Amino acid sequence: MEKKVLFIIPAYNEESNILETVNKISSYAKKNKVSYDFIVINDGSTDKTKEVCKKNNIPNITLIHNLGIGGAVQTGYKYALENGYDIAIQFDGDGQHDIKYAKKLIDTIDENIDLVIGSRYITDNKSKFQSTFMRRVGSTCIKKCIKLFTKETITDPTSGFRAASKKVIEEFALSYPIEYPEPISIVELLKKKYKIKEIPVNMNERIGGESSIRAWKCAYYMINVCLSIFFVFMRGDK
Amino acid sequence: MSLNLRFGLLVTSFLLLLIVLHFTIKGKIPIKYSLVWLLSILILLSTAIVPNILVIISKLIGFVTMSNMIIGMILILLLLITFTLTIIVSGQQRKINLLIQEISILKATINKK
Repeated sequence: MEKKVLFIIPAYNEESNILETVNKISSYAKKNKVSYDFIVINDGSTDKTKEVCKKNNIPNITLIHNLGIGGAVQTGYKYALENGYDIAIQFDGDGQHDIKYAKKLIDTIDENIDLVIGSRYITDNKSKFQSTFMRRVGSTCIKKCIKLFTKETITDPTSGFRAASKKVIEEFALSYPIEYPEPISIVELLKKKYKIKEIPVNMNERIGGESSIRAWKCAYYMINVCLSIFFVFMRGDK
Repeated sequence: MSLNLRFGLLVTSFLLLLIVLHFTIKGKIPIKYSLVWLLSILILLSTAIVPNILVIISKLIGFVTMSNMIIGMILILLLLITFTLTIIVSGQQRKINLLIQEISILKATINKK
């Protein structure tokens, strides 16, 4: 039986990129002779993202107010749960993620693997774009922190290129961290004994727009993430 | 405590009482939130009326002057109130988040049909 796959595309002010991203997914699906559904989560954009979606008949959910990446992605997971999807894959609307790894991400999910992360930092990977020095330092610290608490190595905890199984979709639809969603959601899953696997991917530099994490915010981001991981573990089991 | 200070305290607490009561009666703040303010006003009032109790208490705890103790007490009370507000705001943030998501999904489903 073929699995129902949904691409969740969070987009905030991506009027110049969104059409290209969506077209890439459709042509990729056609080439591989599979059917992928996708949904653009327009996170209360102030530009013409909504109009672009409407004009080109792109399925979208337009949030009535900006929620940030966490709230937007969770909306996608809620949609996936309501419409009975087996696999949901997060795919940024800014053209940063390379579509050719999507199938590998999706195929890696099975009974034993609940979440697959596309990692930039796996050793045999020759990704041209590994982001700035400061961000790599921050990423390393977060990695160490996750290792300390969960005994698991996640090489790229801030990666937003991930595929989730049905169980994880349910989990995320119910509760998804609003702040620092990528690393914190990983820690929460690991704590609940879900299995996570990473596969190497390439990421492109952003076509346009601005990254949500700027260099000077890096240290602040890192401290906050490490503290949040600590608090997740203090919380105990519900 | 000088008579002037006691008089000032008395007037201030009466004014505060009027403001809190006004908003509570009009239904602008729920009773559970006005309670903490009414309690604080009660403490202020009792200080103005019988300041001797406070002198004894401040001597007992070890404050040099009574005014130090009053300021300290008020500071702690205000900290508690602001912290309670932080909890309330966080809870509301969560609810707003949920509302935005559900309404947006609903809107998208309606528009599709």
